[in-house]
Amino acid sequence: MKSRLNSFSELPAGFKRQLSELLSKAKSPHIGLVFYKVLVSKFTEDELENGLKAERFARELDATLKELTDYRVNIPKLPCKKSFELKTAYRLAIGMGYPSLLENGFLFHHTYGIPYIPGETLKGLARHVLLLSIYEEIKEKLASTQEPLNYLDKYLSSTEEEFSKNSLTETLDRTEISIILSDYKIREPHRVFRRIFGTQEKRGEVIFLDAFPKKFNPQDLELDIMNPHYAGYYTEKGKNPPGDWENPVPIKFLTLKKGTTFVFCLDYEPLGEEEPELLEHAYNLLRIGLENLGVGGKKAKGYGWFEAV
Amino acid sequence: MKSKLQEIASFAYDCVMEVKNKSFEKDYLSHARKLPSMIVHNGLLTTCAFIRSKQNDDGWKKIEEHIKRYMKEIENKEVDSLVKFFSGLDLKEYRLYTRKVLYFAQWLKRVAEGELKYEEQAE
Repeated sequence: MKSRLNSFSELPAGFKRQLSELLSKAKSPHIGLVFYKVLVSKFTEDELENGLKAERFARELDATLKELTDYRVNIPKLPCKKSFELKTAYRLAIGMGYPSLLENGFLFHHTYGIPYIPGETLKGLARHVLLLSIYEEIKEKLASTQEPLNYLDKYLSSTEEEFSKNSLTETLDRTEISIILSDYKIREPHRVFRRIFGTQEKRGEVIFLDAFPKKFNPQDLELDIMNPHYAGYYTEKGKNPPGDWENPVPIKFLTLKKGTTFVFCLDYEPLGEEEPELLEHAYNLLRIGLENLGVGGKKAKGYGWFEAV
Repeated sequence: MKSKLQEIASFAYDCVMEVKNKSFEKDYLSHARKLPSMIVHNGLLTTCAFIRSKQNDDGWKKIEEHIKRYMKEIENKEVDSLVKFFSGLDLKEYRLYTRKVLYFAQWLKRVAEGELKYEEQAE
């Protein structure tokens, strides 16, 4: 395969040679490595010396991704008790906080080099859905506390002793709440919460595994753009009015295209009696979260939302 | 006699104290915080090239100066351009310097977080 990645005409010395040797051995390059580390070798020393231009970097990245047509990587199928598929309803921008030359990063799996959604993100999302739902149910009771959501969060993951002492426990016992944005119902949500997600003393009983795309091609990665027009207004914190005479500042960032199917997997940690009900709850919470709240960056603009396949 | 660790720690301390109470103190702190993760994530060479592209930012400028001074005073290498120097290295050496600069960057971050103030800007 003759790839752009194998031709380094510009960088000097051993660095360039050894890099190209390494890459020529690889049939399907690690996209994460390409994005974060290798592409820089396409630039001349002078270009690097004078400061990398994100614009040129974006062009190189785009061209390189398009050329990787015979890319092949086996997506791992994770063995688990419950799995389901959803596809992205709009682009997915995950890992934007990572530092990169494009100003915004992207999350690639460290070993496989493909985009994925980490298990902890998914667990946090499902947890957030149940937390909000419980809050909705008892918000009058929490009205007197400062930062009620924080308080509720602490209470739900507190030690067994503190948990049984708190008056909220009695309130929530034998009640059934409905989950936000859906008609799904959970009985004794506080106990379910502690069992699925764990407490300070005990780990949760449901395992949230990393979600991988079902298929992945480098062409599935798309460059997106944000284009703040009123940079002066924002950086000066409103000293000057936002005006159309300011120049727009195009900032490119990497996204995964709309319609990519992800496989989500849940498993049960055998701590006690296995309860299929618990897995079912976790599945529903996660699904409601994915379809209504989304993961990754720019969620308010619709990025990272999922829909049924 | 000082150990290597003490030497680097005290050098990082001197660097940070130089920035204290300067106008770009806040910028320097937020950049120093990011520096180690940038080196791990993007590589040393890319990070240096990134810093070059931020020359209108005094915080980044100072960080570049400090890395250069580190190379001179601790590694005994007079370096004009970080990019030229690091890209000319053999892969083995490059990895060695990545670790060394990373170690220094971690000290910069540690000291900066302790010594520099992050001021909330009043609206």
